[in-house]
Parts: sequence; C-alpha cells; structure tokens
Amino acid sequence: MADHTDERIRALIARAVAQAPPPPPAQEVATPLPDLAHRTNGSRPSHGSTELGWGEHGHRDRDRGRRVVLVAAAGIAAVALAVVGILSTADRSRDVGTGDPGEAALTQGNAIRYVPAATPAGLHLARIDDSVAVSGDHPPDPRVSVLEGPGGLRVRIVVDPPDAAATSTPPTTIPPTSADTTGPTATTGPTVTGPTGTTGPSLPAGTDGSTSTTTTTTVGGPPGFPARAGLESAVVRGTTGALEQHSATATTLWFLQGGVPIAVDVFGADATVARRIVDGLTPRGDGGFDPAPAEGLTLVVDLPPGPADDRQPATTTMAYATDDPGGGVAFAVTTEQLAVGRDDLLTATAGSFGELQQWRQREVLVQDRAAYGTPGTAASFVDPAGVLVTVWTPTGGGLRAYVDGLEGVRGGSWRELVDQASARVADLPAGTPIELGPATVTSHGGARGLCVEVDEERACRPVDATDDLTPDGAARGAAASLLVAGEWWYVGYSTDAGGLGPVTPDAGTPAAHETVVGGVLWFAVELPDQASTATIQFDAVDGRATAVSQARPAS
Amino acid sequence: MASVSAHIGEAEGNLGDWEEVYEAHALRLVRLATVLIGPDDACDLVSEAVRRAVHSPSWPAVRDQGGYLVSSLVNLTREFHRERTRRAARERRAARLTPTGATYEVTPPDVDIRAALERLSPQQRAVIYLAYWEDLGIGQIARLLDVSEGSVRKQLARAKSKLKEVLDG
Repeated sequence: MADHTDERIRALIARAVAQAPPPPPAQEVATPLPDLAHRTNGSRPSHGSTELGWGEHGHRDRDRGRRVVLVAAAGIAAVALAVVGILSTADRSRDVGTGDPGEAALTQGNAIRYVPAATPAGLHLARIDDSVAVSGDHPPDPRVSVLEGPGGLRVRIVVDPPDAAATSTPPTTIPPTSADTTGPTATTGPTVTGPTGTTGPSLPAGTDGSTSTTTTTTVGGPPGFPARAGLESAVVRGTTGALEQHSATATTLWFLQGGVPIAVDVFGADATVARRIVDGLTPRGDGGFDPAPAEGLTLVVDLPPGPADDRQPATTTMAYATDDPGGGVAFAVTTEQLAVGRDDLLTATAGSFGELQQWRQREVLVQDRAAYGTPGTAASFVDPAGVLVTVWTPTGGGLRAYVDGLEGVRGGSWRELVDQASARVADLPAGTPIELGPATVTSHGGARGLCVEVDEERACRPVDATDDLTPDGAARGAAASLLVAGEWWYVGYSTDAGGLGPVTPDAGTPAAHETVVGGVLWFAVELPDQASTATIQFDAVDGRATAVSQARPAS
Repeated sequence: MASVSAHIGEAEGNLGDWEEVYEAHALRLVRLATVLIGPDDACDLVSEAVRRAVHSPSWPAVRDQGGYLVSSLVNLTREFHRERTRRAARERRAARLTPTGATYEVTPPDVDIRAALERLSPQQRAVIYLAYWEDLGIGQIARLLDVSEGSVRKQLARAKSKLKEVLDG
C-alpha cells in the first residue's frame, strides 16, 4: 500500500479521524439505555443532519437530562415487557406478540406478524415479502364512505388524502409481471387504494391475502393509474380515469379530482349504473361525496381520513405452498399495521362488504372473493394492537383452521422463520448460475427462491413474487430483496420485461447489472448502504415501463 | 479480565471489569465510529454498541472483548443508518409542512470526506479504517470482523476502488 492512492486514502481517513470527539466516560456508557430504535425514533431532533452524519458543525452537547428521561422510558418499557412475559409464559420458545396496545414501537424489525403456530402438514413457507412502506412513515389513511341502496346496491368511495397521493404508488406485485390475469394477485380485486395508490392499509374487502408491500407504478399508461389486464382507460366525471369490471355486478372506477385519487367500488349493479352513480356524485367540503338523490343511496359508514402515524408501517405477505415442487399456494397471510384509530375499519365496513363472524375469540370478516371476480375466500381480523390480518385461500377450504391456527410473533422469531425458509431454498435444486457484475445469482427449485453470492458471501431467500398466488400459476418473474454480508441486493428475473431502467434509491449511488439469457432478463441491483428505500424501473416489452419500490429488508 | 462480574446485566450500575476493556478501547471505538457514521453520533453509537455487547449473554465467554466491541460497533452501524434515514425523512416532511415554509440547509464541513465515505458500506469503512489508520494486516482485520481473509481482501479492493473514483473526481 504505497502508491499515491493509498496515501490519499490514508490522508482522507486521517482527516475523518481528526474529527472524532472525546470518548464518553465509562460511567455514562454503562447507563442502560432503551434500544437504539427507540432513541432515534423521534426522541431528539437531528438538526438537519445528513444521512451519513457528516452534516453538522461541531459536536452535539451530550444532554444528560435527555438520558434521564430515556432511562425512565426504558424502565416503563421493561415493566411492559415483563407483563408481556408473564402473559406469554406458556410459549417462551417464541418471541410472541400479544397484540397489546402497550407493546413497543412496531418498527419493521419488531412488527407483529401472524404465522401458523405449527405449519400445516405438507406445506411450507414459500413466499415472503416483508418490506415496509416506502414513504418511511405511515401516511394518512384514506377517507372511506360506504353507501347502500335498493336491491343490494353497495357503493364504497375511497378518497386518498392529498399527502398520500403525492408520495405513494399503487401496490401490486413484482414489476415485470404486474400485468396479471390470473386472479387474486395483489391488486386484481378492488382495494382501498386509489389509482395512484397509497401505502396505507387495504380495506378488508379489497384484501385478498396477497397484498404486497412491493409497490409498482406504471410509466406511460393512463396518467396516474395502474396498467394491467382488465383495467381500461375511461372517461369518468369528464376526466380521464380508469375502469375495471370485475364481474357483471362489480365495477371499480378511478378518477382524479383536484389531484386527489379517488376509487369507487360499485356492487350489485352493472358498469353502466356504476358510471352513472359516480358521475352523479357531489363533492362535499370535507373531502367526501354525496350521491345523487335519485339513486336512493344511504350513507352507512363515513370514516374520515386517518391520521399520519409516526410508526414505521410494516406489512408482510407470506404464502404457504405445498411441498410438491409443482404445487401451488394453499393459503397466504398478510399482516398490516393500521394507523392509530383505524381499528374500527373492519367492523364499520362489514355489513356491506362481508359477513362478520365470531371465530374463537376473534371477530372475523369473511369474504367470498367471487364478488371481485377472483377465486377463493378471505378472512380478516384486527388484533388489539391494530394489526390487520387477512388470510386468503384460493379454494376456500380450511380457512377457519388457518385463521384459528395463527399466532403473533415478533422480532427474532420472525427472523428465525425467514432464515429457515431461506435455508430451505438453498437446499432446493439450483439452476444455472447467472453472472451479474460482482454477484452470481441462482434460482432454486424453479422459481421458489433465489441465491446471491458476492465476494464469497452467500444469501438465499424465497422469492417475493406474488403473481403465481394461484393453485397452478407459473411465475413469469421473480425477485428477492436480501442482504448479502450486510449489503442490500435486489435480484431477480423476468420473462416479459424489456430491460432494467433507472434505479433511484433515497440516498447514495446504486450499481445495477443486467443480462439476457435465453430471452429472460436477469438483474442484480446493489443498493447503497445508506439507502432505506429504492425504486427500480423496468422497461416492459410493450413499451410501458414499470417501477417497483422496495424497502431495505430487516437484518 | 473477563470475570462473571463483567456481566453487568446481573447488577445494573455495577460497572465490573468491562470498564477496563472499554477504557482500553474507547479512543479506538470512537475513532472507528467517526469513520463509520461521522463525528456527531459517534459517541452515541459507541455507547449503544458497548451497552449491547456487555449485556449480551455471550460477553463473559468472549476472549477478545476489544475485538468484540469493534464487531458490535460495525454491526450496529447499519441499524443506526436506517433509523436516522427514517428520522430525516420525517423531519424533512415536517419542515415542508411548516407554516412559514422556512427550511434550512446545513453545509457539510468536509464534502470530500462525506462524498467518499458514503460510497462505502459499514464493513468497507471498517476495513479501510483498520487497514489505513490502525495498519492492521488482512488476517488481523478478518479475525476482528469475524469474516474470511478473502472477504477482507475483496472488501478492501472494492472500497479502494470506490474511494479512488471519488478522489479522482
């Protein structure tokens, strides 16, 4: 190390080290503090520091008063955790989340996720998407209004708050394959999301168990609207919107009003009536809508927009498939953190969009997905901590058993499950290795998992694609977001993407690699360490680009 | 040195023998933390890393406790980055919503250092620091960070390549 570059690097490090503050005394270091996640979650202002922390002049005063408060907070948290521990003595082997509202912050790594207490025989965890909302904070939830009319007519109006509309993209599946035609993929059914989507919680009626936190938008389609099979551009209220007819009696219309995306689901009427109802809506001053009197619709639910939540929203979708290599998904579970005060969403909409039943200690909303033109049945409940849990199965069989068999897990237990599923991937038969820059990507078990090797470090993970969440669907693409020796990689393949487009992380400079092998596009994106989210764009073969947004996986 | 009393979780506030370990490595830890995340949060990062390390059940059995603290520090960096990025996003949003619309910009004190180091992963920063500041060999760095020597060589090569790009402008 004696060339000129070495000297410059040495000088650079010397300059960095010269800025080091004096070490804190041991007595101060010894003080037990709450977890870092708690301390940095708004406990103190950053005064505009940059992501790397090199943006402030001088050293911040070490505020002992703040530490006293934090220690007190830690004590309270310890008591709460002790209570939780007492309550969960029957199952100390798992890091069980009780759903008590007083539990610690529901950050991604500490989120409550509901998984089977024992994986049903013949099944395994086959799909995992445990990303988080790209916005970084829980955005305001939409206004939801439900109206009923004669002959079983039901109308649901979902108005995205302007803030969410400005920052969100529609949730759907893996980007190159988002143009799904196979039933209950992520946004096939009408969801709470508007045309430009929202990262807020999906309404149970729109949740089919496969809602992905991977978010996709289409570039070049109808402005502001997702593009997929079944969704057509339409003139709605005199402006260019979109229409999706799920069945002869179920239609969703999207339109923008004042830049705010609005979605209207109409059940119990054909598309012509649905258009007429939507065209006849009158905006109210509070952001809601009144129906035309002639329609005979009565307002039964009107939930105002939910507040923005400082918690990191954590949404996880996991699918359990049969052990048979050619077998499909048996059921899928989505857990999604609701904003504070939105836990009444389930019961408020139950009367119109599903049947509320008592299953053991839970009130469960059961929905026949046929109403949305998709197969299967879904069941949803909200736990005391505001976690919306939805279980979907394509056949409807065994649904109650799946729901009754769920238990909440957190933190380490969840990571153990992911590690086990990832280890299983590594043992599945491997395909041909694909060289992508410094990474070597290998698919395992067909499209069930992906492994990445970089600098002799290797990591595997089940794919997060959800486009084959049908009993016999085949993946046209798959991707996995994983950490390799602590470095964040997003890798995968697609049979119908034209190429890899721009990659835009929220910080730093990415490195993207792609190659085409046998007509299949393979890609590997190395995301900067300081990035917590990133958007990866793809060029589709039909000329319309798609973009997927991902959040850094939990380490 | 590594007696049972070092497990301070048994008696909060009783510093035990771990204090000697910390004080022997404090300067090194803060310097490394400064390279990893910058000077402003270096002490907080060190405090947290030490706290977690000495509360770990495996702490009493650790042979190289200084190295363990270094490894704990590097591992903690990534979590720290994520939390700070989220916090910064919240504050940017809050600033945007300020009625007066007033926002403020802070000029980095040393753009070169920031531009250079932000290209590296925490492990690469640690490798660079240990190689160029502490003049440790490949084997020593590998043992300290609990990775293979091959991994250290590659991380070092990639880090040098990235730094060269920045330094060459």
